[in-house]
Amino acid sequence: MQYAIETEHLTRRFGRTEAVCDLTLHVPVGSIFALVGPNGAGKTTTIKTMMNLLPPSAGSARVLETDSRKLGPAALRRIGYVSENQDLHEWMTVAQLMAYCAPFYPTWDSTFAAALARQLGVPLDKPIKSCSRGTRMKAALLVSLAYRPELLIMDEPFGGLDALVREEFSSGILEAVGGDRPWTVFVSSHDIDEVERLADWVGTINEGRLEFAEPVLSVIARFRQVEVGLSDAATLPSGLPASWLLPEAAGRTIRFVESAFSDADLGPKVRAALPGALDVTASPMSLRQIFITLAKTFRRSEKRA
Amino acid sequence: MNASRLIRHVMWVDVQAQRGLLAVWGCVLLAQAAIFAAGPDGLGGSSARINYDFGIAVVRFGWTIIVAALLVQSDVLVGTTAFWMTRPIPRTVLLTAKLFSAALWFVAIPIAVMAVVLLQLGMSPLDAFAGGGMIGLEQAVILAMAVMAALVTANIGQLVVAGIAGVTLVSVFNGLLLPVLTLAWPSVGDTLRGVQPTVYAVAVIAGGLVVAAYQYVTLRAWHSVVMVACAMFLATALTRLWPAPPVLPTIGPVPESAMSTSAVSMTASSLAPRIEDTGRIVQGKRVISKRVGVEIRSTGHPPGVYFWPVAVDTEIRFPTLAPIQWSGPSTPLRGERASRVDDEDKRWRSIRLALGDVDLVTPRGWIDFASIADILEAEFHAHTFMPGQLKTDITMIAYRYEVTAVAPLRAGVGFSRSGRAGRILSVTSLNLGARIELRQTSLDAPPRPGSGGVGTSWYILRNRARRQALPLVQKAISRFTGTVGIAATGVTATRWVLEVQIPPEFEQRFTVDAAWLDGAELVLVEPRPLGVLTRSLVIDNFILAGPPAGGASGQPNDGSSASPLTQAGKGGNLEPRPDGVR
Repeated sequence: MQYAIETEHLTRRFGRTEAVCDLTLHVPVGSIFALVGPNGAGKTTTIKTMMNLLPPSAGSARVLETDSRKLGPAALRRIGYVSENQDLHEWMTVAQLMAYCAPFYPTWDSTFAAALARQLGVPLDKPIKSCSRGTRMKAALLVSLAYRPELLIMDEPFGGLDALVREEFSSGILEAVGGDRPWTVFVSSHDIDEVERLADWVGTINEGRLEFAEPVLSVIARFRQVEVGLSDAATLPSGLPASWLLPEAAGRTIRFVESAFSDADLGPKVRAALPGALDVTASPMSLRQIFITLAKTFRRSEKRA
Repeated sequence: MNASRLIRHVMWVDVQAQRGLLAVWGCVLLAQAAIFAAGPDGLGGSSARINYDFGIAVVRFGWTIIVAALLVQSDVLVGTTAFWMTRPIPRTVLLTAKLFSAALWFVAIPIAVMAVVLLQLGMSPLDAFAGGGMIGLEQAVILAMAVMAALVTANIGQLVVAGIAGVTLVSVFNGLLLPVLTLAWPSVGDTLRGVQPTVYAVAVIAGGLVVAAYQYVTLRAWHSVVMVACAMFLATALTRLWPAPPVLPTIGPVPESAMSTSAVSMTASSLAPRIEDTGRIVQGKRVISKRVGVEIRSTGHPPGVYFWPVAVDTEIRFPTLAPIQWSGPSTPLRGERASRVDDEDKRWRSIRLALGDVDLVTPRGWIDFASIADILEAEFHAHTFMPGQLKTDITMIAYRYEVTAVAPLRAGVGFSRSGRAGRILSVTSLNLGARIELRQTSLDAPPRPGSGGVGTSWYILRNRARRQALPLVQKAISRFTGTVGIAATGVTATRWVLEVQIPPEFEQRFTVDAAWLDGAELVLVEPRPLGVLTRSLVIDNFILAGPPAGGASGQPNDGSSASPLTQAGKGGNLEPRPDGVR
């Protein structure tokens, strides 16, 4: 498998604080990879290190087969970058921003740019300084897609956008990516709903550490909300399987999240751990539910630690 | 798109970004040009003009700093949020575009504006651009400082803080560290001879370029901050430690093509020296000394050439006393000749010869005494009246007056020579005589060698048909140096009111009326140094003090100054100002 982004033990420190710690990550070419984590988890630092905005303290990152520390104009012509923290030229109109960017990209497609502007509903003649946050983000997306980059990196693109703008934004990305050539999209967000709609790969990061990264379908397939009915009032036994997350007992019911779900194995596994089980119900979970579960699990493990 | 087109693209975008500020910048430059073009007396008089010029210079500096900083900070080089950092914009392209833009707006255009003004005022293209270059140098220094500060800051607020910190650090360096350095190494102190603006300018500009290149290529802001501090310290230290340029420019020996130097000989016109009190610093204390001068005459050279002593190496031997030795610069001592006709002043003779076959009204002649020694008062008194043998090697510069500009005497007529341009503003016939108003623009050059009379240039009225010429005497002057800043030189605008004054003994011969003025022309005569010559002078039975000898020279009995016979300012004679017309 070819990877658009590879990091190996990537670490970035600010003084004594490790913003990113030993992060090893592989983003397959053609995937839409969502890096999800709470605020301050290290998403932005990871992206800035990938984009050579910050040098890594240890480890390495390769973007489109180029070491991030050597990322120059040649590689940047193949990369689109959208960030909520990026300073656009406020005095420009969107049209002027497009005219400013175009000469730097041999592959700039003015027709495509115009079509994107129409699709995203970006007013071309309006100064950026008087645009709303949503319009600014769409303008940034516009000038990051118009040259059909091989890799689009977005850092918290949905933050502060209303529902309609999010919809337009996501649609714009999906339509652009859905062309003939496979584009790779790497997006960081703490907004799990947008990620669920966009991404086909997902990774979670917390306190600078990557917890997992795998295809969304695989994640959704292996997580189930399980409810076990018992004959008597339930108490949680010790020695429950490690893949059972957030187990809790309520009356004659025990609930937990199975993180290694298999239709065939669930019944035997429950009966082995809970001999008094009468019935077992396994419900699919949304990505939001899965991440909330994971977040709570991490929090509990931190408290125990 | 190739690099040059990308550079032009970035420059054009920057023009669009700063168009409002640049429009104001254009107005500032035009205002400065208008103020300069208005002349020294324009805009309500010279004092008002000083205020306007100072004000516009402050605005020019301030605007340069602000707009240059915004130019750099529009694609900021610190932090991680700049748009350009994630775009395929080569750093060398950005660096080149920014430097070109800054140099174009803040150096080249001010030079061009000033050059156009100077061209309009009659300067030659070369002089006009040299004059513009003086403003360009100032601008380049201010620009370099602004760019250095902007390279390591993200906005104007940070720039102001950085500027205050920088000024404080440099002040501490100047006020505390350099004096300590001077105390530690006295030889360093010996070389402290005041500000060397050109050295400072070059160091700051070079430092700015180095820091800019480093920051654009590496984006290591803290390294660049250290480099900025080092550049400023280095510039300051170099400025203070760089040897001062020689007071006298380097002049070679008198070439044989100018005259046969072997035939030139020197004699003292009188054995009695001229003595003046002066002061000298000995071991940090000022002590009174006596300056001894002798009148020297030269022979064996073309009549238009005259010599001006600049350095002497003297020994006076006495039969029973210790010899007196002294070497150093020769300072002219002057006395006025009683008559202007019996012995024509050698400089006026040179002027008359330069003017051609004319009858010239000459001012009262001066006796120039070449100082041959500065002797401490006690030593002087110990040797008074004791005859000795004076042997001195005198180094002189040979000069000859030349006509450098000629213009018909009519209002509105311009004239120029290298580094100077003028225009006759008005000509008024008086009874008898004339008043002439001139506007002159000059590139202020370092002092001429042997200044204090010898470097004097003169405006002369000449009527070829009548074969007569008269020097013009200054009645009023207003002068203004057109740049306020750090440059070593400035462009000076001067307005003269000159008048013809005819001494009574010339009134019969010179009838300067309207008819005379109709056929007259304005002539600028200036001394040109030919080269350096050294001659030895030996005087036996030389007495340091004694009674006045004849009317040519002498000393008063109180030993304080010139004798009554040689005192200046007697009578109603034509009195040229010692500094003449510059």
